[in-house]
Amino acid sequence: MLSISDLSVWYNKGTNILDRVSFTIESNKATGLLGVNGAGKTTLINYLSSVHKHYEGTIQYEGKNIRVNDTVFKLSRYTVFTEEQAFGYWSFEDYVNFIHKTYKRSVDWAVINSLTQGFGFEQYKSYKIKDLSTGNKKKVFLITGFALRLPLLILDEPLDGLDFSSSEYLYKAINEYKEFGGILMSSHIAESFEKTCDAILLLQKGKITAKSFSGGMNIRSELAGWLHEND
Amino acid sequence: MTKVFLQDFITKDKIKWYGIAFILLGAFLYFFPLPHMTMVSTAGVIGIMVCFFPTMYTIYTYSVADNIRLYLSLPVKPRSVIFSFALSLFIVTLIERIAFVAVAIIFLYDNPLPVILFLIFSGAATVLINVAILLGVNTKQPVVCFIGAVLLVGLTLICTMLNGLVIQPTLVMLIGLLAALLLLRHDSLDLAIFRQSKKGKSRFHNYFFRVLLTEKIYLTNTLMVVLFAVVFLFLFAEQGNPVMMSVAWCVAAVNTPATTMISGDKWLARQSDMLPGCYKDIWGMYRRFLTIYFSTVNIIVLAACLIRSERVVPYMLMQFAAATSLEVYITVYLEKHKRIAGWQTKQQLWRNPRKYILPAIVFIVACGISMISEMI
Repeated sequence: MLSISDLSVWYNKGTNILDRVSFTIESNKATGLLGVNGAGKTTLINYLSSVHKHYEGTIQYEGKNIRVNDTVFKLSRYTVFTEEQAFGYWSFEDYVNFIHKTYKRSVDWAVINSLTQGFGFEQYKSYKIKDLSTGNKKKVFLITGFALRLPLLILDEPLDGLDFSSSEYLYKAINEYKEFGGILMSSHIAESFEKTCDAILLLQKGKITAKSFSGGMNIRSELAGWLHEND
Repeated sequence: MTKVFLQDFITKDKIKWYGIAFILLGAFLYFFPLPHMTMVSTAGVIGIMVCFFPTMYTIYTYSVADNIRLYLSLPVKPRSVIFSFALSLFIVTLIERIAFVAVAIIFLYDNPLPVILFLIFSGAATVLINVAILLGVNTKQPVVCFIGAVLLVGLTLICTMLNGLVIQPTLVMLIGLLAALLLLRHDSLDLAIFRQSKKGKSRFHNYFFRVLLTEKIYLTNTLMVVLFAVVFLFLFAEQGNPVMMSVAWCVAAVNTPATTMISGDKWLARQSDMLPGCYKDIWGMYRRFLTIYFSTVNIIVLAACLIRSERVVPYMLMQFAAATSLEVYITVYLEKHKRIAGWQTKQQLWRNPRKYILPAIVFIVACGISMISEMI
């Protein structure tokens, strides 16, 4: 679905956070983005979300060369950032309506209700976002992302702030989402990869390596080997 | 703790620029001397004026920020936190405002030292009263707010009604002491504004209108801008003086909170980049907000212009149309392409020099329209 070639990303010219990396994200699969703190996971996600300005490289979406800020690509992906406090004066209902109009989609309230129920969010739907707890704020954007059913959903550390039962539901939602599109997810929780991912992108020292990953594998035992492969 | 707060309010780079500005102001007053003054009380009133509103803005916007909540969790005595906060505010006020007035006083008074000291005392008392009022508002204690207001009125009366090198500073210090006593009653947690969750729908769907109507500081600023433009017209624009009328249009364009709504919310700024563009996106919504906002403000200015000139002048209608469309277009352009970043408090954001671009353009265009109409 999405193919990136020779991508370099930087904050200060000459010091690349990502250095000529190439990788692909398959549709209808969940791809895990793995790396130690500061490896550049959020920077990569920011690039794919058009919020990082300093980059060079080529990007192909559905076989066509595009730019990351082209509307055609923007309309095909939605990002749930690790920390999000936008639209604090709106309620979840206001935000969901607005986002669906922006993405030119009609709101499927049956899907929304099912997701809010699953995440245990029903009672907070009409609260102002800024007044919600950290976990509930996260749920606003997660539910919106899942409800949009776009070809690509990007999740930056989606488990941050979620309680135990919501985390379990998130795994279920990710697995069900594969029917509609692909997911790119960064996380520091090994269990989240084991329970949802079909492929892993290992980010290390500015490079990305694709790792084969199949259900049932123990990522913790694999990880030690992966991280020391290049030493 | 004072150092921690100061790092949020001011940077070394800014202090350097303020230093250059002091020297320039001093050089200007040295080469272009103004008539000398004798009244000590004038300095006190100036001290209150330059400290009250800007400090109030800073305190309010800082109290809703996340930083302060982090600092409150540090193992520091509550009273120490409150007084460090007040002291850091006073130091910033001293550098950013009082010092400029002090430079002018050196050149305007024969014996500047007691005047400068009086200015500093009144400024310090104003900062303490402001912090006391804020703590009263945060803890919903109207009595504390009322005492703060009484102290402020008392301070103003002392500065305007009395005279004397001993009695005035002594009373100002007494007022400051009373304000400090009010602070002693509070816990450091009262410095942060915590809001309770509320349900309920607003009549306005547009996000920016909701911010404008919910954040008191935005609404107050809007009312002040309109009031200032109208009062200016009635005081200075004699019989439709075109230059003064253009200044009024220019004043109406200065609503920095409304024109920095994207820059002022880093989360919203990120969503504006992330989301696909369409008529119903963030920018479309911001454009609609600005159109309604500036049309409303400019209609009031237009009405005041028409009343003041006592006749319907077509060029004023042109000024109205040009000002409104320019304000919308330029604001959106600046917020899209020249967004203000790297600010730590809203006060810093609102004082960014970018704020002068829009009023300057509106002034030039309004002047141009009146000049062309005069020629025709």
